[in-house]
Amino acid sequence: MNDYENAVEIKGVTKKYDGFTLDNISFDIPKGCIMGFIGQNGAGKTTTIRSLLHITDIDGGEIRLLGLDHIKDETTIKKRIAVVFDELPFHDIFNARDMSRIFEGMYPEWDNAAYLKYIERFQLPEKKKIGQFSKGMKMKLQIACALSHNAELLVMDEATTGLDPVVRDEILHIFMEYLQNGERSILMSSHITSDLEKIADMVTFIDKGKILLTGYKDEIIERHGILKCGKDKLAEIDTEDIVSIRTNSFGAEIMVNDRENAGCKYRDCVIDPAKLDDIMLYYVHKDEKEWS
Amino acid sequence: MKLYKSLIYRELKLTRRHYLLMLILFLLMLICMLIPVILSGDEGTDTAADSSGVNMLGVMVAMVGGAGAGLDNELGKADINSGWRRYRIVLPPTALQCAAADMLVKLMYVLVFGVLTVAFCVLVNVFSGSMDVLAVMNQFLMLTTAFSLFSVVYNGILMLAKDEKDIKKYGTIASIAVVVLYILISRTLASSGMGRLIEKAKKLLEIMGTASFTVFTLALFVCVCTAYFIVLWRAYERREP
Repeated sequence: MNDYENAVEIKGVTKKYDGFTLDNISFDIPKGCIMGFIGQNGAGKTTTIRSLLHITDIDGGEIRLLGLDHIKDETTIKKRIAVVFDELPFHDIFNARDMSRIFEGMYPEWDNAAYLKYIERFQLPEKKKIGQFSKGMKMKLQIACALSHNAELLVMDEATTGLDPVVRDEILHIFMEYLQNGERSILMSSHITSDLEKIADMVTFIDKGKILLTGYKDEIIERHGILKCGKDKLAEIDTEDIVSIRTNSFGAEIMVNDRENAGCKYRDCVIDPAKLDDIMLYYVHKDEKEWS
Repeated sequence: MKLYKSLIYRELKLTRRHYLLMLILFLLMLICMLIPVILSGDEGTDTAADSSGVNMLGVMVAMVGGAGAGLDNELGKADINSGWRRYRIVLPPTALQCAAADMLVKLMYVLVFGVLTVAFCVLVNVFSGSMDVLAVMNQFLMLTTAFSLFSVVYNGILMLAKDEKDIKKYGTIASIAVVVLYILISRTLASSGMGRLIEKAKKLLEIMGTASFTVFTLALFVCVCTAYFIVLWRAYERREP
């Protein structure tokens, strides 16, 4: 086991497809952190995750997982990471017990007792065929498998999408428990920002294959704000303070990138705190500046 | 070892339905063929016609056994459909280990069908005493090799598919390629005319019982198995575009 500072390091990664480019993206996930990877459908979240897992080859850049090169040290890395996809990739004819028999030989640190504990906790039947499971049960099984081999990095691609709020909440709670020893990290892609708002330490926004914003969630939320003013006031707002402007029939709502500073500069305006959802929305329209 | 146990367990579970059906079909055929041999056992096979009848039984058994052992078990297709093919990339087993496990399962079934074929020949010999076991085994190995060759082509094309959407397209292309390969082989064999083909077949049947033909068949089998292994390995190693 090697010592590392960042569980994930992505530097200048580029991947070109016909009609889409993952454009020189860079971000890090420090050890012990939950990184929320946010973006709308087609923004490049899945491409980024597939690139870092070496499901697809990258055209340029460098990726390090657990301090190791994602291609050269692939086999070592894969023993120490776990991946949860949006769809269960197990064959319908298997049951939960079969999956433990399959994984126990693959992972040197497979913990059958932990697996059975998760199965019991999730109230999953051991002998029922996976094909007869509901979507929630399938996701729980995939998560049980992912959490049972002491993985240091958990990568999840839209794992909570399509699940009801109760199951989502239960799963998020388990992730928090999993991180308690401070040695494990999670990269969680989602377009459900409320989930990430609950558990993420850091967030990275991606849009059209470009990273718009990355950093600690609380800092990002604290830094941004929605300034409300009339349209006539718009001209007084410095362009460098503005992320983008949403106009409506009553006036304008401006996402400012330094709430404290904006509060001092525009004393006669109201500045509301912004949620991750709002920040994503305003950043997605950054190029338009003004939108409605 | 534990890793291979896991991989083989998965593959046996996934392919058992396919092989069970093949085995049932094969056993039913063996029983159907054995009954007349047993019933006429006391009379023996005195004439050349009887002997050639027994040999024909051998050819048929070798053909069905070879098909059972050599035909594609559709594991690749099932893995792509379920999403396992993509998921496997993030698991610790290497492409080489996965291909080796697939190969071991295939060889195990070749052995099972081979043993059943030998058992059939021994039983026929007990009752009629006229079956050339070596010739039947060579035929079995030859036909297993031929069916495995189709499997190599099929899997070679199927490996281009990455998900359920692709599987229909590449599955159809692979099936067409197998049919085309079959037609090409048939045309090559029949190019010299039907009469000469029968002559050739007769000559082939004569030399099939020789040890040198066993060496040739084994060499061919090893070549096709190697090709099968390489195709599987490449398929497992392949990354998505």
